[in-house]
Amino acid sequence: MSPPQSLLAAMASAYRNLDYQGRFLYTYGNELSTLEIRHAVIEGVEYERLTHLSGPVAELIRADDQVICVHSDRSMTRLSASTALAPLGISGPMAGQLPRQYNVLLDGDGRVAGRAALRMRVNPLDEHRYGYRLWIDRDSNLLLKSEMVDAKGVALERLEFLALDVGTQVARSDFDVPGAVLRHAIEPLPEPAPKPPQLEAGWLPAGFVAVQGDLRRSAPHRLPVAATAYGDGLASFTLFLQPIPAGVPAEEGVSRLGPTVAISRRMAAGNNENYLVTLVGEVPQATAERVLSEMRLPGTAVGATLH
Amino acid sequence: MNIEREREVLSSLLDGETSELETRRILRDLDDAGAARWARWQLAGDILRHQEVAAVPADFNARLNAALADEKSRRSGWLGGVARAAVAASVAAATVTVGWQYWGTQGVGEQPAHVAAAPVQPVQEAPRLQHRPFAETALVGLGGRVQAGQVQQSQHLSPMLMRHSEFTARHSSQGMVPYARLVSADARQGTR
Repeated sequence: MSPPQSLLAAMASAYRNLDYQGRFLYTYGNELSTLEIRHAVIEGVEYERLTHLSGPVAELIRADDQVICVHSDRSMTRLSASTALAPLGISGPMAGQLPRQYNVLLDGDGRVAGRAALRMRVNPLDEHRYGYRLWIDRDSNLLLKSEMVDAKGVALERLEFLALDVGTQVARSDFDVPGAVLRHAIEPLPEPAPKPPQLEAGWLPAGFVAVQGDLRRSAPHRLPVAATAYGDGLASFTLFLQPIPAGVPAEEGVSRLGPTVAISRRMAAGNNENYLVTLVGEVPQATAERVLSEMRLPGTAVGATLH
Repeated sequence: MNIEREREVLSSLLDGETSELETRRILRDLDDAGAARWARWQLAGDILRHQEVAAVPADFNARLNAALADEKSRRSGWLGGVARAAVAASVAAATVTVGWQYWGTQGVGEQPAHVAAAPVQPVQEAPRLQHRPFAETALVGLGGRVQAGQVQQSQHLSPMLMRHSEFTARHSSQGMVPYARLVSADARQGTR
């Protein structure tokens, strides 16, 4: 591995294996959030807690693969772990080579949160993914600052530590889930579950492979929603497929939230059923549009559409 | 003004970063196409801020359709139905949350309602399939006046956004960034 690649691998490892806590800003456009992170490995279990400090309380608490979101009304959503489609070697955080679709270079020194940092740039080699500017802590290899940038070099989002303590004592009780009034679960379906038709990608940007998939139920209709995640090792998007019951109107649309784009379109399957396909991901909008436009359901022609 | 500069100006307008005097000067200098774009942006901003949505100018549809004509031709055919939102989303840079169009009960094979000049009628009956990936998403480019009832938003983050973030955290090598994105969006949802 080249030195920049080794540094990226070290960064991914530091994120999961070190004990630390700190405060950071997360911004995009004119939205700004202040968050606190606590992270520790206790008796072999990785714990992480992100707490939104300004405005309404929102938290995310993770114990290994179990993630709980605590919303501002103190209700919670449990996201249980799902099945990886690809061996973790491919999808595991920066374990191997960086995907071919990027080049990475060291970009000198910097300083973030009073700590000396190495600056690094990850540049996409085509127009189907965004680039990154990273500041990595010289001492611990933790990520101190990160920007996702579009083709014009505009930062679509920024995360930046204001204060960071590494090797600090974090207690197991720091990761206790607060009492909450309501629980939602994005539930795995009991087997055997009715399987929706498989989506076939007519086109994927180079380097993207299916990395994870599952079938869950979600409110309000409790219909099964299938999801498949695609990634190139850095960027990712998720395709959702849900049946549209007769008589229930569905929405189509396009929207953006910082670096994340979402597009929904309706598709008719060969069996006369209607489905809604939604792409959510951090890829350029034109790329997302193309993926969806060349999506197929069984029994339909490429790009078959209602419009 | 060229489009790039115009976007910057519209963006600062939308973000409330210009003084009243500047605002008037900018509006005076805007041509018709720019005004149509501005109307679209303002609509998004109003809805985002949960303000009363100002009446859309009578010729809004015609102007918007004209402004969209050449942009549409560059886009996939299936996007025809959602081209307004697609264009709005693509010009919005990262400064605002935009997008989403709503076609109500439109049936399979029917023409999308947006080509009609008449306002979209609010839909009264069955619960609609709630899948909006960003529950806070504003509606953009609806024909006619936006009905308050159509802007109803879920109090909770969409399961889709949560599931995508979960996948991304595991596979994207971006460390805590996907989780930070999620918690930040969740907190903003709580302010609405």
